[in-house]
Amino acid sequence: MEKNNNIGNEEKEFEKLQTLLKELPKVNTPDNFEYNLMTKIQNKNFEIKSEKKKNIFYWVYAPTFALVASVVIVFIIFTDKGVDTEDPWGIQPKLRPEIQSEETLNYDIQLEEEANSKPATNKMNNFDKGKTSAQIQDPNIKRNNLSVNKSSQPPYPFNKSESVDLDKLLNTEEVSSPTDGISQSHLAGQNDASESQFKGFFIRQKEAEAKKESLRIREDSLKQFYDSTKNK
Amino acid sequence: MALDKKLISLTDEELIKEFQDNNTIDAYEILVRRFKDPLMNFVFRFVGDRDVSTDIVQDTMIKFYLNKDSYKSIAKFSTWIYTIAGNLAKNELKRRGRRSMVSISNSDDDDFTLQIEDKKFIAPDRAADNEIKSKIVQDALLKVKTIYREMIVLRDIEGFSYEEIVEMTGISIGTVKSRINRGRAHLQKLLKNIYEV
Repeated sequence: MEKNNNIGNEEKEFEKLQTLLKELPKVNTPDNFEYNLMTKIQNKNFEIKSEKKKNIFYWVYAPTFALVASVVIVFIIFTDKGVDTEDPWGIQPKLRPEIQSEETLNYDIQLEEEANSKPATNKMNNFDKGKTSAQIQDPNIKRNNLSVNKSSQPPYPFNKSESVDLDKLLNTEEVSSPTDGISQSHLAGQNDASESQFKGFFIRQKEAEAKKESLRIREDSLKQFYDSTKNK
Repeated sequence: MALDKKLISLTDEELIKEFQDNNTIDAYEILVRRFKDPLMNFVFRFVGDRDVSTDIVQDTMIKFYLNKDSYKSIAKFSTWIYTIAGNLAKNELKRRGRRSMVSISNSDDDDFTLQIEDKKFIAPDRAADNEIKSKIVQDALLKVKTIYREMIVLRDIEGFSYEEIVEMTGISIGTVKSRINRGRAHLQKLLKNIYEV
């Protein structure tokens, strides 16, 4: 009841205003309104001016597009890093072990020659600079077997004249763990050197092992040399 | 164009059903004739521009023609068509608001609005003239916030009941009443010069 009274009071409060609003003249459509409307319908000209669908579409989907684009970009960036690719410009070409050992030998010979040309008083200084040259100067010291034998042994665990299935070869245990003391295979698909200059494919090998081996060889030589000087 | 006499005697709801079921264009035309002027009056009082109002009413009728099946017989036809017209009018006002960033008519600052009213002050003897009076009322109406204006026009100009307004706008009856009262209070303040007559 109170509510109704309140509403009644409010209506009374604005009675004048309501009368004023009701007295407002009625606004009618123009005379050709119906004709225009029916023409539009007959011509199927249904373009509604008061709506803009294009704008609505744009604003609704803009954040979604941005999100999808960023996800795609992030995905591409991170997956690219995962792939193990080699940059041909960034990596130094690796030497094959047999060549590497040959080089070591050549280097040793060079040092030996240098040492021979110098007087005997400088012998001790040469120990620090070129340890291998000192080895050669001393007749009691021979090169360890490992470094000498390595170049003479056949480095290929497969027939050179036949084609080789690389995947099969790498997956077989025999090849991957050779028993004859030779390091793992390095060349595949190689032809005879006499036939062409092609030396075969270079198979990727862990760099550390090759280095480790060469260092071990040097260490052995140094030890032998050190022992011999001690005995003297 | 001679319309079927039988159709003319039908109610709005019967006519829309006829149009929905049999696609009778005459039924559609009768409904257009019945509602074009009330809708024009409603939209004009809401938007304040005759040409724009005509376009909005025409768009309303086209929407009605295209989406006739979306009308359900549980609601009154008048409620449904006024809802369409109201939404189109609101869209138009929003679009206008985006175009002109500064809108004096939607300002909340009463003092500022009153200043403008003083500038346009018309002497009481002239205000007696109906045409000028209606112009002043219309201008004042356009200065009321859109949400209040819609309610005032529906209630005090078009004469809909609170329940019908609730159905049209989809807001609670309490909100409808409070909006009507606030709108009226604001409008009364704006039209104080006219009351002095």
